[in-house]
Amino acid sequence: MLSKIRGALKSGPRARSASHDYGASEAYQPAPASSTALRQRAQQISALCDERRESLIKRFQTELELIGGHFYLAESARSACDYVCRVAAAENAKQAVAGRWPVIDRIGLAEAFRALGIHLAVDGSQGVAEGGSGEFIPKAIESVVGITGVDYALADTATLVLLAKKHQPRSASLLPPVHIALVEAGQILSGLDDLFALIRADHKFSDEPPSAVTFITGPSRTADIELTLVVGVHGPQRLHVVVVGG
Amino acid sequence: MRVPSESFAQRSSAAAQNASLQARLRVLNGFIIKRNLAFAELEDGEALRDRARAIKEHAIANLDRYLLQLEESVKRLGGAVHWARDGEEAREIILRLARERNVRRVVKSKSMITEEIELNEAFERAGIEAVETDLGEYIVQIAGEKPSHILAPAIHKSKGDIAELFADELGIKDLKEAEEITRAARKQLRENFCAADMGVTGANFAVAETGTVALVENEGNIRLTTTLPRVHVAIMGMEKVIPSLDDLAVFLKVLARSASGQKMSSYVSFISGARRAGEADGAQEFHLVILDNGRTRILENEANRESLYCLRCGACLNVCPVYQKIGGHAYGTVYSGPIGSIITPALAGFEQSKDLPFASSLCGACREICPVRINIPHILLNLRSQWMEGSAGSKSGASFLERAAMRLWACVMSRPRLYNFAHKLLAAFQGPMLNDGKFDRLPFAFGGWTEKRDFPPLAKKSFHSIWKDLKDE
Repeated sequence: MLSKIRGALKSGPRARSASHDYGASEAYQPAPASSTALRQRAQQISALCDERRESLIKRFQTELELIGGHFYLAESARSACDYVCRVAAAENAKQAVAGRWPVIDRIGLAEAFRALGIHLAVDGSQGVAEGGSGEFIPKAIESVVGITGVDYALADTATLVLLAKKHQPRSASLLPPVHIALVEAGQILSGLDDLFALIRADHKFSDEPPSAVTFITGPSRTADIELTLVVGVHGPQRLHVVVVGG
Repeated sequence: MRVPSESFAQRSSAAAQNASLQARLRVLNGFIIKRNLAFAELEDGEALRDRARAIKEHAIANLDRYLLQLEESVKRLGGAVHWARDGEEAREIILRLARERNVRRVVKSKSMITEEIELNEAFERAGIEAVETDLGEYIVQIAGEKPSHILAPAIHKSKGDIAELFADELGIKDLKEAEEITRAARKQLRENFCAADMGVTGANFAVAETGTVALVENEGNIRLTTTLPRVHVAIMGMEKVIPSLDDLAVFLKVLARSASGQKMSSYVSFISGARRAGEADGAQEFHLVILDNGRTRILENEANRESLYCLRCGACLNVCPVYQKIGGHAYGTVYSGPIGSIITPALAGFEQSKDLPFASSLCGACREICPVRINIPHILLNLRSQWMEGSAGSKSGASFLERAAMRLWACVMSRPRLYNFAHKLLAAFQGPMLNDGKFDRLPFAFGGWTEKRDFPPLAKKSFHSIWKDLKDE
């Protein structure tokens, strides 16, 4: 099949379509970058985001609320935990799932849920077997609330970026009807360009990409019926983003 | 790819007179308004479109290199790559994978390419249950119909139609509002997701550098399809490959904005192979099927090659005055609208889709809105002339009479004295044929022209003779 493609490409002189005044194909260079250059760029971006943290948080909030997500800025770990508990209680949750994200430990969620009588199954912890034996998924199916951290958050579109890892399962933010995402303030970037620079520098993406990277922008939605917007289809119906400051 | 035998002219006539279809299609204007707002919000939307086009131009011009690199990258991740020359080979590959792995139930996400190869029918024949999980696709599947729009497959149905469908086929009664219907579908499909052995998706983009398949959606069904079943098969047209990960930054910015005016769709998934050791979810096996099915034919034809840059955003459908009037089903093809009219001749053969390049007023709205600036009107003209001249091995599409008339016309137009004589002759005798000063009915085969419009009369005196008179004065 490849030789057929090569044959097709060679037929005749180089392709120049009639509509052509936007940059010849020669002008495109896929971006190589030395790892030093990548590191430097990543550092610049991180520094810039630190400086602009307040405005990034505000922008994130505006964009999130525009698309029907709920935003909460927690001044402390304690207030973040309280918010999560309030949401779980309001949803009458008896069962919740989470993965192992440092931020979830930081806010002391496990103890708080225990106190409320909400059963929390955390992937990779006692009672929820590792990896392929599939015990996490059934718990996620039964749960009303799924709690995760994130790897990055994008302010200009209120997008959460989660890289799949051991003990940070995809289904925690997918199966339960309510998803609560805990974001560390320092994880917020301005947009996609920042993200792609950092993701390369941080993760050696070309060598070992994660099995999945998921971008979450608001709750699930569809307009398939008469182009009427309905929020909540197969993915979560409600999304809460808690930015944990301090 | 089969095309129904009833003619395009009949189907489009019927559709144009269908008032309720018209009402539903009119809502597409909303997408255009949102799309324009979303692009205006960008710092430099035009530069982004140029960049998107440049990436596609480069990728397609080096298609063999990038497909090879894609294969290496996927294999390095432990995935398998299968090459399919046509729809039949693709079906065989996927069915074999299913059989070998004891697959009984399949869930599918919305994928135009699986329509193209008629995968669902093949699954059915093999006794494998394959359920569409995108809400619009689910609806048309239950109805036994084909999708009528790339993004909103069930746009031709009213919510009353859909509620009735759910009552008749699923036994779920008393649904009235869109929200109720959606909840019912969510509940039903959740069971399908959990029971499925295999998930089949398309691919919006495939990154050669990393072996990553990028998938864009709003409902969450793609996430479920790639997270729960143990086998994931992604099938892509070979033109979907892009060189590097960073290219996705450009495409993610333009795709959702072009398609539905959203800054970002609800979910984007980058799938790089199967789950890693210790992960609780994700497929255990990943397969990528790379399909040709006529795309090399488009590649060969340089003038039409840019139709391979298409992102399948659906914007050209939304803005096309023809599509807005007749809807997707009238085209009778998998891919409808302006993009459908230019790729179907290569994918399904000219004979079957000859009406499509002609069903356009060449207004150019599609070219204006295309995120990768495909010059659709130009390609439509190319296809028309290819058809008329009978290039690519087929005989001319024009009838003997049409060719003869054209030759006569060319002969007269290139001989000034003959032209002047013909003019004097016709102008003298046209009187009785005119109605209210115009030809509203031309005789013989020319009647086709005047069926829908008038033909202007010949001037009593030609410019030549007026000029001559003036000079003599």
